Amino acid sequence: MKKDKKKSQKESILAQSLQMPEELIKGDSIISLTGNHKAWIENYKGIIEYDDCKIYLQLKNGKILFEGKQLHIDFYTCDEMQISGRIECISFR
Amino acid sequence: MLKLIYFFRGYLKIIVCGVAPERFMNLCAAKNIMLWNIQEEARGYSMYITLKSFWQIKNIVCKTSTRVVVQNRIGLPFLMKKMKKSMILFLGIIIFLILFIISQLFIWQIKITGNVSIDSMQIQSFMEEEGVHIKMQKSKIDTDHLEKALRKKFSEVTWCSVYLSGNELHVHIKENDKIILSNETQKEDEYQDICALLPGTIEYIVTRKGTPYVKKGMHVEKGDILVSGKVDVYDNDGNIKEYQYLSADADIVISGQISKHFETSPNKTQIKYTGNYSDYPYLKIGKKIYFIKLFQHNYETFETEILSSIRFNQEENATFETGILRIKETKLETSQKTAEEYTSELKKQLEDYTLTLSEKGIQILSKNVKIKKSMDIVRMEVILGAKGRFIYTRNGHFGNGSTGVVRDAGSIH
Repeated sequence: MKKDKKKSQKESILAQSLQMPEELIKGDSIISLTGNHKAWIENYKGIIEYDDCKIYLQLKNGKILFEGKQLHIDFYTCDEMQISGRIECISFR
Repeated sequence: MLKLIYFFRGYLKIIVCGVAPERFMNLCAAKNIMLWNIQEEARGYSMYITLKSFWQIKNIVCKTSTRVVVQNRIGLPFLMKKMKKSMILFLGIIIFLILFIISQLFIWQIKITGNVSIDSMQIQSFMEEEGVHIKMQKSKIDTDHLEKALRKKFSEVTWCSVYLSGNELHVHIKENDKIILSNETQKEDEYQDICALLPGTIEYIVTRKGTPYVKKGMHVEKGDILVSGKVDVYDNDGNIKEYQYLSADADIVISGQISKHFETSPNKTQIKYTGNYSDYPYLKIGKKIYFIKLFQHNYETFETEILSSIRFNQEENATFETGILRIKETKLETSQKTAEEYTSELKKQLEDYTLTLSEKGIQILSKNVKIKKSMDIVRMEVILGAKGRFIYTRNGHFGNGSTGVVRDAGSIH
């Protein structure tokens, strides 16, 4: 835990000094929501689980779970994907 | 836009079923294979994949132990395969499109509007001299130069506009509104007399200008001077001081007789159809007709009939027309006309003639008709009693005087 904290602090300082976006240095995922019916996700590793009610994604630093109804993937590539449907809950694991 | 690109390249709807379809999707993403519209279904996961990418997923399918079923094939490559069976239709569509595009580069009609005194044919022939005609390229027309040339050539044209609209060249002109009066002026050494056109009796005379030589009820012969343009000017003593010369003007009505004859043939020729005919497809470009004689016909006399035609434009001399031409064999039969037939023909001729006379203001008072028939001809002699302005004007010169008979000159004043 302490190591992780130190590492993230170093990365923040590096990002600020190089004037680069933090998510690029840290490898964070970017999630953009449009209402509760569309979600655009960038920078992830892959799909862990997918069905009509939930989409479980593996991120670089953790996992994310989308829960809802009639969920489907509009498109899926190595860099970005879009989920649409009725999103009820987004949780980080 | 993206959909159009995928349509041209071709894409498939597949169903992935197996143990780890998520792994299949991850491996596709790692290989830069795009998947879209991923949905969970009863059998597995349905998704769309491009045709090119489809050929690359073989290893992934093996690795993930999944099964891929193609549900639908969409796009131009699959359409082309289907169209191979009806290639002629496809080629026909392509050829039509090419011809259509080429035909848009040319002018197929010239419309001339606004002309009243200038004939359209005159304008069109002048334009042909300037190098502007149907079937020429649109890019070669200089509308400004044509407008100037039309205004220069036709003095009546005050304003002219030439423009292209689609495949039509519109020429709109405006002519001078002023009525151009006649340039005829009477020469000083000439005068005009009014003379009788046929022998008859003067029914009515009102003189406006000139010296009248006749009065109502008098009988005149053909060529007699009725009103002279030479007017005597008297001095105080009643002697002729001088003569004035002018154009005589008067309203004169003469009643007389008009003799006329009409002729017709005693035989009639009827065209009868033998029932033999031949059909040929034809092509008319401009004014020339071309048709392919699939087999020679030996008809001595024949008639042509257009059975069906497609015109490129609606004018009578269409620039492009095609259809089926029927050549029907005919036979000429001559026979004698009955009395009713030739009588009605001659009566029709007489009616037409009396109609032309009545249009000129001539009243028909009586008709005396005689019909004579011979071997070669049937002749109708008509004597019409008529009343009207049977007069004409005749020029006279000083010194020469006007020739003609003058009657009762002294009793009219």
